[in-house]
Amino acid sequence: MVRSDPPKWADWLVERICPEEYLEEVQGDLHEAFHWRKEARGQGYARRKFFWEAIITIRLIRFKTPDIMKNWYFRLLKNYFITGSRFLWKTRALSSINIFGLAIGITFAALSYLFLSNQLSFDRFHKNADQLYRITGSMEWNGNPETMGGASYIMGEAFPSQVPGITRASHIKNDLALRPEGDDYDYQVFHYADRDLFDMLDFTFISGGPGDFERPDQIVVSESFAESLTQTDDLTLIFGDQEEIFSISGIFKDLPSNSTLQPQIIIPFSFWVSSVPERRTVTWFDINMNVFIQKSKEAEVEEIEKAMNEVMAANFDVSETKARVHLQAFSDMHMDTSLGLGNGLRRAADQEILRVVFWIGLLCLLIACFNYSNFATGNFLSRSREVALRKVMGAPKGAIFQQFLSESFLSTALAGMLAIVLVIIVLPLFSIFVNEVYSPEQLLNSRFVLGFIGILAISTLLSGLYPSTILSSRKVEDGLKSQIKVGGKSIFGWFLVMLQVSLTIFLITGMLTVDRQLKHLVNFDLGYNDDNILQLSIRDTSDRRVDRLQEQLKQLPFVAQVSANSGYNGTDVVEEGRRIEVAHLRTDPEFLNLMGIELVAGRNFDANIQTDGRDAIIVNETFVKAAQLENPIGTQVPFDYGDLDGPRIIGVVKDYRMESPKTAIEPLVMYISPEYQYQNMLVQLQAGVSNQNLQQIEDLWREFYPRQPINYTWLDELNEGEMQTEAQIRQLSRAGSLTAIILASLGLFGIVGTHVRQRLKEISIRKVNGASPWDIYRLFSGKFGTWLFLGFVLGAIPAVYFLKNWLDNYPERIQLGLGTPLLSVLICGLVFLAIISLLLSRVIFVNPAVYLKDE
Amino acid sequence: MESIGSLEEIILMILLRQEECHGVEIAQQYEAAIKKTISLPAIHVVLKRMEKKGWVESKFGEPTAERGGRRKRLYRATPAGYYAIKEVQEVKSKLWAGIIHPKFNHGTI
Repeated sequence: MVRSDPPKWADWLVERICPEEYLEEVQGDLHEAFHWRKEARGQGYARRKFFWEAIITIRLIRFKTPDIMKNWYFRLLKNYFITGSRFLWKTRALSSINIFGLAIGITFAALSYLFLSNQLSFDRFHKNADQLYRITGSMEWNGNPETMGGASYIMGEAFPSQVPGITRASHIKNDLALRPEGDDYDYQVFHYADRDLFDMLDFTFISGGPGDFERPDQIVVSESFAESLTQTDDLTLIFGDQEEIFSISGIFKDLPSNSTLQPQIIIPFSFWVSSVPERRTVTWFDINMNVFIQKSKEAEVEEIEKAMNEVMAANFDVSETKARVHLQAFSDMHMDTSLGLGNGLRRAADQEILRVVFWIGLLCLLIACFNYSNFATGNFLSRSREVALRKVMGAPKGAIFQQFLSESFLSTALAGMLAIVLVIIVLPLFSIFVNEVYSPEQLLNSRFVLGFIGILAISTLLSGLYPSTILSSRKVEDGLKSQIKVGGKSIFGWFLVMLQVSLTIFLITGMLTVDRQLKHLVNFDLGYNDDNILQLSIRDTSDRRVDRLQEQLKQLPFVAQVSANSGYNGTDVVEEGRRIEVAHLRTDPEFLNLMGIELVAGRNFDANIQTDGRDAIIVNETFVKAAQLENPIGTQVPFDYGDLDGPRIIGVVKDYRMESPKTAIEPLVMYISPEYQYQNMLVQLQAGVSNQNLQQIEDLWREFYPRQPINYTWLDELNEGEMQTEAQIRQLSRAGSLTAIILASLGLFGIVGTHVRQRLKEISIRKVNGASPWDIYRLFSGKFGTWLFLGFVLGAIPAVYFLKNWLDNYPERIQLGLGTPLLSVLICGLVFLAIISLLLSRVIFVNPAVYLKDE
Repeated sequence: MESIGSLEEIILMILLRQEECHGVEIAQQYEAAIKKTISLPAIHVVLKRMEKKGWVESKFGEPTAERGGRRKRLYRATPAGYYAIKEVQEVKSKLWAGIIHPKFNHGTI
């Protein structure tokens, strides 16, 4: 044979063409085939064939594995996930409990995140957001500073034209008008604004536009409002007795739900200007609207503030009141509640709810992660031999660490998927709790998705670090010897359980306290009777008509008493140089009887005594105290309102809660002089009123005010409504503590279970040597007890501290004694005792033979 | 049921007849049975495809001198491969069974 080898250059070709991973097999086969073909059909044929086949090895490129798959690290990770999922499946009963626990934690964290991120995102979506500001004011009165979240009309006119750096500005104000709907009338909220508003904020017009927004009768409406209209070119609104027809020049897309401003109808400000007396447009401190400005990019906020104050000082004497104007960032309005919103802006964030949601979300996630740690550590023990083998095969510590971390990632990912389902299920309920509107679509926005991934990453780390560290640092010999005890005395594991227990105690104590405080507030003796009292809102400038309505209502057989009042207003009374802030109320002689308010001295107003209108006031005990009156009856008070002229006190009433049990009692002055327009009519009904009776009241109302819809509330419901925040906190804390106790139980279940499993053999030997069940019980419970006790103490102390602070917000509060923390300790204790006993029963009643047999 | 190509079918049957074999053996048996030459990469491509489908599995064998010291890759049919081909063959033989007297109408088409 001359040349027995295939041509070198063809070999070279194969090496270039054939994918690396198949080269050995293919080249070998080609060589072997060359020899075979040479034998069978001669060298020439074999060489031709070899050359041709070398080229068409290119076909194998289709089966090339992607480069990433060839990466050893990737393969290692893949292997970890396969081992991990097999192990999860093998221990599916325990793992599913564990993953479920983690999912609950993640659910809570995700919901809190959704809520908090949504709250924080308020008003930040406008593209000019960082240049927008609201004008606010402050003044000082006898050394008492006062701040105002609003501005006057003239500020919105003068500043933009005289202060450099302000590029755009708009007034904003809202108001109510009547809107005819078929034969009926309904109240309609609308906003006034200037043309600039549409350029300052992100308004999108889907049809038409604001034009120059100068003509008072040309308005724009929101898309959702336009949909509710039958014809979309004009809109009729009734102001007082005046009917106005507006033409709709544009329809804009509703602003997103995280906007503080939610206008439906926007009317040019020129309409407001033409409808009010001139003084309202020139008074500097007539704070009854909001003014937004947009500054130029370069302008400094401090400079603008300074210039604004200079402009104001040039036109208005600020020396006495120390009046100043300030700028508040547009995007701060929602979160900063110190200034108040109103005047066309939606309610602000409730700081208290924000805090509660944050803490519950965080604590539940922490508890769930600790849980997983403990559970996983116990569960992974059965894998010490696997770990030892990996190490013998050369796996460094880091690799084992990564392995278990990737397994906890696997569990977290599964828990995350479950959590998404849970979030979708509880979202409607959660929306009610926090008083927001959330739809499942909101879960798809990038902010939430990123946050959710963040939560998963955090929980992977929190839940995986501990078991990974423990397992990777075990000695190889221990693992191979199937030495089961792990990590010394597993102090860290117990430490985690202790933390969980204290968090649980914290939450439960919180829940019980909120519960008790709310009950206390609801059942609080207001100092008057709010049962069966209907409060009607009145918008009538004529006292006469109100009196007639009152008379007619009294005629109804099921009505006990009727009384009208102005609602509480505030002012200052200066008495002997002392300034007293008082609430005052215009009412009638029926008020005290109807409300069941007790007179402690003097007499009630009397309709038959002519002078009562001008001369008489009734005050409460707090007023007497504040004014330091020895003998209040007959004392003249400098309270000169309207017809009142140095009135004398004719009676003193016992203190009662004017507004709600959440606010402190203020000094109060009552009078019957007609200074303030009546706002409310209180109608006390006989017990057992039916809907038919209410219908009769409505019919009567309609005779008086055919154009106004009746608006009434039960007084006791109104009082309970004041407690909305507390009721929300109660709901949230209930859900939170229930979850916490479930999760902590799971954690305890995990660690006690591990302990018991580790010591089965030891216990069996003890039993053989005559230990009684009680001895064994004590053996374990001593240790568990210590840690639980530590957890109880560590939970109760911060809880009491934190709750004391919270309760200080309320003038009327429960005493936080030892009872509440002890009760929560008792609840937790019983649950934990049940779990421990359940698990211990396994060792106590074990047959020692079973566990001693296999050696 | 994934469709099975005709070359796939033949190679799978060759594999099912023995414990395990590598590419060149398959080529030899193919040429012996079909009396036609075949190129090796064509066989390799079919083998890789069937491996993806799970019909065959493979492992490295021992190196030999005539391969230039390179290892063989030995292929073996899996149960899944067996059932895949079994079904096709049953359908075919059922059809074949119906053909007792071929109906040829010579010359009248």
